[in-house]
Amino acid sequence: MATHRLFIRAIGFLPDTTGNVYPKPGALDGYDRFSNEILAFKDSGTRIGAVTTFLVPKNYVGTPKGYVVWSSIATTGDVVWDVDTKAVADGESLDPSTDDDAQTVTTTTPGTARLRKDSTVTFSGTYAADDEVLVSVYRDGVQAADTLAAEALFEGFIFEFADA
Amino acid sequence: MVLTAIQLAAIRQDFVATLTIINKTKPQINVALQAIEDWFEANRVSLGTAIEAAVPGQFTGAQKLKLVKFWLRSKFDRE
Repeated sequence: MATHRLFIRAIGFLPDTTGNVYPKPGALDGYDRFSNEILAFKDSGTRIGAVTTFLVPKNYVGTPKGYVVWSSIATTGDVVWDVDTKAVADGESLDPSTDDDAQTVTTTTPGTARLRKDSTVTFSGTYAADDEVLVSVYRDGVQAADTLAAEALFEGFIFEFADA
Repeated sequence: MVLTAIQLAAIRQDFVATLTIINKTKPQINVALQAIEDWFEANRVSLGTAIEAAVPGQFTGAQKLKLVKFWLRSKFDRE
């Protein structure tokens, strides 16, 4: 059994309609040499998010995890991330009313600005090869535990799984 | 008056935009902002009284507020 990872770049996510999640070049925040496009999750005091989809690989067997990859120019504070998913097979609704997973993780930003941070969630839902997985990543600024007084700069999302 | 989460967020964003190193948390900034709000509320009547004493009967309450607003902008641009 081996562990595999699927990386979805932030640019593959569609921000919600609040205007508090937006794409920006990293250079605006001092990421000078490799200024890729990121999604900024504002310190809005509200729950804000972005969505995407991916296909579960053919060799998927189990042990699913998700990683929110992000950074910040702040040197103190925590971010509350919510990750909601729904696996959709052929013939099932792409407008589901329930989630397979609704996981939350609170992560402290590194003490140095612009360091990569991965926030990990363990999924408990059922996924199968060729399922289209709907994914929402939220910053839950309503929570008192979300103390980062800056944008959380979302790089992308990792789906991790084990094969046979 | 207790500042709402949305009001706090709006002021926080303006403040943080002026920082090169963001080494303050949301709760720290929020407490400072509420302290400013509380101090102003505790002293706003005496501020109005001071203006009134200097120029009796010339300015409405709304005009006094605007005087304070523009004075504050000028004051802290000078410092």
